[in-house]
Amino acid sequence: MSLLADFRAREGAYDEVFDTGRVPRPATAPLFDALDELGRTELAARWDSARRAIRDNGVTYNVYGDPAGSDRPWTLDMVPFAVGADEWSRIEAGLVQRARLLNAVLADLYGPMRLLHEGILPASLVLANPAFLRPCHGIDVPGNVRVHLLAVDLARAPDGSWRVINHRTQAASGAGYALENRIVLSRSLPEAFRECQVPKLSSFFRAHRDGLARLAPPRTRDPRVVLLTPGPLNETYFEHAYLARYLGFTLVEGGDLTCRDGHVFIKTLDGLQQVDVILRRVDDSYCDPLELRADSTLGVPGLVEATRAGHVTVANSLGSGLVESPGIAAFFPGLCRTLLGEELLLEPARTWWCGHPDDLAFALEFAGTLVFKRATLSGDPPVFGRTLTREQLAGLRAALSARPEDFVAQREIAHSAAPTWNGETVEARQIGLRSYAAVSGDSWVVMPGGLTRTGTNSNEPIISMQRGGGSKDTWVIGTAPVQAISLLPPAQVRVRREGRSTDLPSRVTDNLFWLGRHVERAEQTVRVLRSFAAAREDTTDHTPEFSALLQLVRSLEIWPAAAPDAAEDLDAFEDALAGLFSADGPPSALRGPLLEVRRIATSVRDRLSLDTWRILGQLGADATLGRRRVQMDEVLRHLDRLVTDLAAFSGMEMENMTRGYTWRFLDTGRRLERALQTIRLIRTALEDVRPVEPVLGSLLEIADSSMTYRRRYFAEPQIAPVLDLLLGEATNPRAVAFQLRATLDHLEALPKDESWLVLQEERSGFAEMAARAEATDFDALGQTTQEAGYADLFALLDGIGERLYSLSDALAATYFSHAQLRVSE
Amino acid sequence: MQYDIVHSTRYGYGAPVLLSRHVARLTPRLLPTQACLHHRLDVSPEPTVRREHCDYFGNAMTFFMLEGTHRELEVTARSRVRVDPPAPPEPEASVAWEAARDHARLPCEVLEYVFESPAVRFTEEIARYARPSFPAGRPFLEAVLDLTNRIHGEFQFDTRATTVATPLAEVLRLRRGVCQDFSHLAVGCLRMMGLAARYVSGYLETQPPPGSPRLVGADASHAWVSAYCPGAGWLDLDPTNNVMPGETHVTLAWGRDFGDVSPLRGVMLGGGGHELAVGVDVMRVEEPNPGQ
Repeated sequence: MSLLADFRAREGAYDEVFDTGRVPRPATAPLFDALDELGRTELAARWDSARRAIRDNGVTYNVYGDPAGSDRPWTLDMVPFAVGADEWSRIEAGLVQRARLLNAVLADLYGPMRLLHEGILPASLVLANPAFLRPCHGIDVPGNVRVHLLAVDLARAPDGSWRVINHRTQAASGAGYALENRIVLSRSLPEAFRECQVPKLSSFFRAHRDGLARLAPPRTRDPRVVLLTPGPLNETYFEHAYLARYLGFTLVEGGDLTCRDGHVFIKTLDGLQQVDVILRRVDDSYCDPLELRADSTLGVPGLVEATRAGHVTVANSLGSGLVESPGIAAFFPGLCRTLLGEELLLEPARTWWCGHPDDLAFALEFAGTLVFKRATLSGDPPVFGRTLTREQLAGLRAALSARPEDFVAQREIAHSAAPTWNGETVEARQIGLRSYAAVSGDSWVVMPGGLTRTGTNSNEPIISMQRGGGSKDTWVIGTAPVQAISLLPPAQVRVRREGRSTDLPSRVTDNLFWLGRHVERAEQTVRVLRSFAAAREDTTDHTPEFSALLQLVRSLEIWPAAAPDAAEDLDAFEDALAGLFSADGPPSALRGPLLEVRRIATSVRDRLSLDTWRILGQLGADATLGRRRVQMDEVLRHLDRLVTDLAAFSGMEMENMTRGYTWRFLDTGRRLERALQTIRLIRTALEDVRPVEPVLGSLLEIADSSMTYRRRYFAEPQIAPVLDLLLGEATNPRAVAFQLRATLDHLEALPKDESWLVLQEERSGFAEMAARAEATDFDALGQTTQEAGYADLFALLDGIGERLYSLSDALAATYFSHAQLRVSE
Repeated sequence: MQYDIVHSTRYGYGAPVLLSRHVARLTPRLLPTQACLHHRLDVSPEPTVRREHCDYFGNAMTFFMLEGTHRELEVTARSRVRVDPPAPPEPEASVAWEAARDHARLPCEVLEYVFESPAVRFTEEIARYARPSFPAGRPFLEAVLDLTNRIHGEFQFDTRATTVATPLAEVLRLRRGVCQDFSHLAVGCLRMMGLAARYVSGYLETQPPPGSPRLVGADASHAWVSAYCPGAGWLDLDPTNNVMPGETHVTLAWGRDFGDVSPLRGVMLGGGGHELAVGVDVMRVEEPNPGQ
């Protein structure tokens, strides 16, 4: 039976698949033929694997105001939205025209303001509009382009025409999700994808990238483009990191940039590097606390001044959000005739600006059926008259009468319906299409496809990811691949060598350093716990080894004080172990470092490969136990898997990261933490665990050095050789001496600038400690008894520990320093 | 009348400032009734970058940046200004105030000042306060003077009652404030009556000649309002002193509200808390006898 056998659009909505005679529309036929060929069972299997790919790739979307909302997995539907090529070329023409129109309107409003002087546009829509940024008025922009990337939300009305619902002109989101959707779906449905001859998206992104590079101020043939993000808490942060990696731009936060003498620089390890183009995902007014919103912590102080000086191009230009205002959009048909001498191709839903008395009268009369929006840009969602109670309608009418010029009224567009996979078959869902146009040289390029969004149910009036909607890939069916037509030579990409990796923001080095530290801390905890749990599993009695380990985990503060210290009650013991995995309450010694790893990795995700990201995803999954009662062997299995995940992460780091500063800082953090943890482990064991001998085997196990020990000594672990192996043996990658040597190597490789000279003292102190650790006669130390105390050894360990802490502080002070910005009036 | 004006601002920071950027609006405007004969803006420590612009409202604006650790910042503006105010129009002679609310006849530059602005939000309380001064058909200037007269009479000058951030609704409730509050209130009242009103920052003569009263706000920068009357143009009114600014008022800058003309705004890296000292001195210059 065909997938579409039961598919039916809701009454009154346009059916994307069948015409009124229930004949399949030509554009959708090849797609559904191909899907029918696969069959439901196969589709279901592929849907599972597509969803897994999305989870593994860490494609997420943050939902504001929802505690569980951060990092919500992206929802992609299995059935793409199909658009015919003829129809698409009309949409394309409409998008290009709209992009030209928006740029012409902005050029006028941020320039001569003819539209206001001649009364073509009511003054209040601009002058009373918080989105009109007066400090940006009169600033010339390269190529006179203010909107470089435009997103237009389209809906298909019941009569089959596409209508514009909205457009985004300042920081359009979603293009990266469209790309990810395409990658996942073209892999999940390769047969259908081939069959339908879907044009690729890559040419669009290439054109977008070249277009940005070409709009750089003429300084260099190799312009530096950065993507400015508000940071990991932003709803579409995944996309910022994803696009930065895909387009080859450096991902930066406001604090990574600094303005000097009208130029913008990125703060890197190698000092300040000039930035030519800023692709921003920070909203207009937040971009500069000096001249725009003083309370913004996301911007770059002095950015407006830098654009005024003409040394940097901001895309989209500052203030371009103005034309997102619904009140201005209401005048587009007339503006299009005035400014371009053309009829508007893609029309909005019929709109009335209530500042006109006739339109107000109409809006008041039909308030119960219309959609109301603020005329100026505001965060307020549209109000649907039909959803209001009698009292609410009266309130709306009063607000309209009091300040009519603040509102526009629109006819509601019933979105069309398309089939959506629900796991077993397809059902009808409302759809909206977000489409994109980008400037490239003298021309505009339209993304062949876009981000199709689906409603949560058939009656929700607004389609939005924030409201829990889903997404679809968009396939333009039956065209030859679309090429970006460009008359200019492509911007040349030069070979760049790592090591001079000059685009690494200081903030990122800071994060990488701490990522290394927390990964190592997590591994140490997991290893200690695994030895402890394994010792308990081996026996129900109080073996000397178990008692010793119990003292150790308590002293290391891994085992909660309230947890049972007897081995008899297996249930209580298992509960306590499982409690370490629990997400309730404050993070445990196990979950704490793992959560930190996750948090930091998120903020540097553009620096981590997709494979690394997948490992981190697995790490998160393995650190979670089901709510039901868990058995000891299950806990052990999870701990084993965590050790493997962490080893996989280290493997990626060792084998796949170029030896630039990214890796150096990550590894410095790891070395430093491993040395600290090992010192703490040994010192705690010698000081707090009595007798210490039964725990020596576990120490070797925790430090992953049992095999080496057995091979070398063929004997029960004894203090002197264990200490030698874990502290002084410079060839053992788990020994403290090894960490000190490796750290020294890293310090030598850092850029030899002023900061490096400041570290001079640290470096020599470090070399001295490493030499002392290697030269220590552990046999002599081994003669001492635990009762007599290990004063000399502890002095050595404490000395190394102090060095390590002071190095960590020195690195923070020289390379990562982040003073707070403050604003005064 | 000529004046020598010294406006100095001193910041002392609790912790070293590594880097700071500032925008100053401390250069007197050039007007048909006001000439700036001499002007100098000194910044200490010496800025590494300094640029001059004209802002959206036509005010001179200076952007500067300090690189290198500093614990103090001193900005001193020195100006010599000549003021030749015209005789104020007769209040009864102006057109009925309603003529000024016909936005369709106002030029775009004037419309800039009829809407809400960040520091002047419209509330019913403001409209209610304004209405008694605007009975039907009253001459524009008479109505506006009545409004400023009422603000002067019904509000108490009190430097401790409000801050830069106190909203108008609160000022209206307290019936206290400083020149900034009274000017914002007057601007709000005028705009809610549909009139164009702008916020003016400037100075008053510090020590008037013997026999003349010393005006309130003379030892700091001052603020008043300007209202647009068709036929007569912009008319200045000082609600704090209940006068129409004449030769004792020197205009620095104007905008929709204080936020547009803030004399010194800055963003610094580091710094901790800060102490601020502002001093303004406006001295009358005896004009040389033209015969000599």
